[in-house]
Amino acid sequence: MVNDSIIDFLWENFTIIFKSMFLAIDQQVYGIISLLYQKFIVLASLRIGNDSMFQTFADSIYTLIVIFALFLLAYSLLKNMINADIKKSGSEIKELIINTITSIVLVLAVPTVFQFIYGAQNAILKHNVIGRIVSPMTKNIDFKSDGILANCLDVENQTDDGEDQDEVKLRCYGNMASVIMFQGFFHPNMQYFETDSNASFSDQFAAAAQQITAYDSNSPFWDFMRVLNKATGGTIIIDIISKVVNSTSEITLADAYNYAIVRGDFRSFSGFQSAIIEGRIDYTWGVSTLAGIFAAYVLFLYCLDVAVRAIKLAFYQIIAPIPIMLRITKKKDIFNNWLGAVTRCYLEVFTRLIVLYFGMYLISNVFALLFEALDSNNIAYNIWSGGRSAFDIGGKLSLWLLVKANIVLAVFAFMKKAPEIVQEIFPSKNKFSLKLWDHLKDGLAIPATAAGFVGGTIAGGGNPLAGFRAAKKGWNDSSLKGIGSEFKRRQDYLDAVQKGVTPKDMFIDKARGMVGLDSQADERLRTIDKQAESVKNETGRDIKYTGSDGKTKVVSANSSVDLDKSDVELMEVQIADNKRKVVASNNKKVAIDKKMETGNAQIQWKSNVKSEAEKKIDEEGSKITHTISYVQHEYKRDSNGEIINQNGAPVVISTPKEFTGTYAQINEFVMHDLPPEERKNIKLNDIRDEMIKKYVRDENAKSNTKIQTDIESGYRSIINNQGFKFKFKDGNQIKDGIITVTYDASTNKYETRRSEIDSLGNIIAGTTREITDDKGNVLTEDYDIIDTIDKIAKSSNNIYRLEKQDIDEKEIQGLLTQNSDLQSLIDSVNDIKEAERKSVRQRQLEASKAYTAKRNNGGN
Amino acid sequence: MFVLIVFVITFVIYFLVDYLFLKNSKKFKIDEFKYLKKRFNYSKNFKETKTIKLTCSILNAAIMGIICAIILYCNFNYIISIPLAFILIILLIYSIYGIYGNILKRIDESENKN
Repeated sequence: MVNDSIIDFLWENFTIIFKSMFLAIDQQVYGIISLLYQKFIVLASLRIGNDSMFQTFADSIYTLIVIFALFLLAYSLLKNMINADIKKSGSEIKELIINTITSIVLVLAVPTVFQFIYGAQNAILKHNVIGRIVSPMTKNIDFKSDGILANCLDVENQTDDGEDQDEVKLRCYGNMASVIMFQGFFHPNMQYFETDSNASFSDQFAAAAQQITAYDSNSPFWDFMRVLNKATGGTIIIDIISKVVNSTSEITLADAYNYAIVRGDFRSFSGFQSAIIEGRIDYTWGVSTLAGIFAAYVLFLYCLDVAVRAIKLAFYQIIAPIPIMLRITKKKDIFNNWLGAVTRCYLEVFTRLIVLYFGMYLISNVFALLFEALDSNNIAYNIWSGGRSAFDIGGKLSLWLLVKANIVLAVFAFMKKAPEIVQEIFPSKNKFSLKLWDHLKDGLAIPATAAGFVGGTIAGGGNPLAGFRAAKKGWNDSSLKGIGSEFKRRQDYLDAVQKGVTPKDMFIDKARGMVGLDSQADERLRTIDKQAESVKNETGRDIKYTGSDGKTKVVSANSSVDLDKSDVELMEVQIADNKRKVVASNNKKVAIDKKMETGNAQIQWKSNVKSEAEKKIDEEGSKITHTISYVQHEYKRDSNGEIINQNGAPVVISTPKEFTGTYAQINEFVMHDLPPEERKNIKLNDIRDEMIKKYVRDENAKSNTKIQTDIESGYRSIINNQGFKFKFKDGNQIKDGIITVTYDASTNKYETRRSEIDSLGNIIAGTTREITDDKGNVLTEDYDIIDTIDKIAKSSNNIYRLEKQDIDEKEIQGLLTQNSDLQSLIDSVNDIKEAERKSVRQRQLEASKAYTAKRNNGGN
Repeated sequence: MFVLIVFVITFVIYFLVDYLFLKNSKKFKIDEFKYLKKRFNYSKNFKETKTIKLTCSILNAAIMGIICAIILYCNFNYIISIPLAFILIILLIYSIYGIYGNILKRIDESENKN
């Protein structure tokens, strides 16, 4: 029992402490909701650059941007004017002129147009056009507490000089929304009060609220009431004021609600702590705070968006000349994008306002909505009241109020989602994000810049330039990545120094890069390529090459010559030319050899036939014989055998004689038996040729299988396929003829025929066995043909041989040698240059180049 | 003094932005060179170099500096200042780049001779 009492005591005090604490927080949170709403309205009508100082600044910037845009435009126009490739038609030129004039007029009109749209926006906001459409103000806030609220609004209007009544009421909507929300969690406990059960919910609620009193002389409520009374001269008769006038120091909960609605001040609720402790006020602490924070969060996002929108609109106005001018150069997409962005940005505030007013309208009519929900025909009514009257729910009021608070929260949730819904229906580039970071990111650019500068300077080893770079990164990305980049950059710097790069090298390379020059290393490497290198001709021969002037230059043996890049290139050209010449000569030789193969085959065929014939002629017991004729000279003798003289000289008798025999016999006869004076008339070689011909022509010889085989296979086919050309005279003209040889198996004979019939006129191919050679001699068949072929082949071969001899082997060899010598010089130069390049790379300049190249390429 | 300050500031800012952020890129082909190439018909092997980029940036900055100084000094109404600026820009670009284009033409011809 003792323990239970202690626990009850502790719990009671614990909850009291927490209720007080959360009530204090709620007063701030719900006050902020009212404040944020007012802030939203102020921001919505805000125009950046309205004051004269900013206007002057904006005008200057605007002028500069106009000049910049005109500069680009001028380039574009001049480029198009002189562009001969584009033949502009008349309509295109007309379009260009119209676009130019239109753009200049638009640029001039932009300030006026923006002035007009801002004026329109102010008029819409000031007269609450959207509010009147979406949330008609005809339904005045009436809290049924003796007209307190209505009277307070009237007084409020009179106390704020020059302030429009609509604006005051508009401001009250924010206060009212937060009060209604707050009521859901902070309301009279109906069990303690007796109310008219036939009255409406709101009447019962108001009656109960008026029964709860509190007093706090320091409450700002009393300050307000005193001012109110003073301002009105005490002419307005209000109960609550009469309480003040009559020194009644108590206020009711209804008074506190009304005061909060009018002024947006929730501090009066702190006086009701005793009522909370006593249980006369039902306060759902904690939950009320969370709900209030959620609503404030949504309104805060709205305020941020509207503030950004105001800045964006001012920015769009300043940069307007650029897209307007670019539309002349057919970059109308940029202009259209700008126009779309301006339109979306301008209308953005109105969409927000529509959503906001709609939400406020719903919140202000929560009572009516709930009343309808609790109609006796509604299911919800039956659930709540168990079939009793709608106004007889008694203790269910707390549930009713919580539902009311829930609806208010739902409205705020809808307001939060509404931009997304609009986004889905009308897609635009201005996305509304529910993440606070997305809204705050842009705003963090300045702190990120500052942090980037400090962090970058530290990371950069105290280098203020590093701080500047990191600050730039922070400004661009609203991030601190620049600090990490500077740290990495510092590491790169230290690495480069470790490799031997001096700060001077880096500075020089960076400076060179800034003015468009190569790094020192690049410069040196380029110089190496261009500069002349001295090399020695160690070939033992003079080396010749063609210079750039076309003259032959000589590098004497064992002497030095200075060669630069152009000399090397000329030598390389020379080498390539020599190679081409060598290749051409070799190809020609191959072609000649191939032609000679055919001729050689024909000669071989002749040779084979001749050998066969010679063999037959020379063999022992040869059947091939020949008859030679000669004259035998003898002295005339008488019957006694004495030589008869006539006129003192012996008489000679000449007798024609013949000798027939084989070639060996003929040879023997001629050499031994034939008188010397006759021997000189006999030509054994001619006889032998005649015998060979005879052998070939002989019937037996014709059937010689060796010759037939030769003709049939190989040699014949060579001739048949390719023929052999010869020249002949046709009148005074020299013409080409072709002879082919065919073998007729049926007759077992080889035949000749002319395929080139047109050149030889009346001889029809294949019908004759006689043809003539180029001298007009009739060629009989057999050996004459073969002999003719042989002669032609030999003649052709001789020609080819002469052609081949024309290809100077020495010259080819000379070219090859020259190439080798030139290449050795080039190699020597390249070796020297490469060694020097490596030397450069190995030195500091290479590291410097790598470092600065990284920097110049945008590496951090 | 005002004119000089405006000129120097515009010159420096424009030069830094134009050269460091635009023309100092290897892939960036400058309009100025295209303009000069079409106007003066340079040979095909006459390429855009870093020196040309640098000079164009300097000339652009000078033109912009002159225009801005004149316009801000005169402090005319938009209606006058914008057309005036446009005419001045056209004239300056045409004349200054005419001189520079001729210089490049001579360089191009001398390179071709070599």
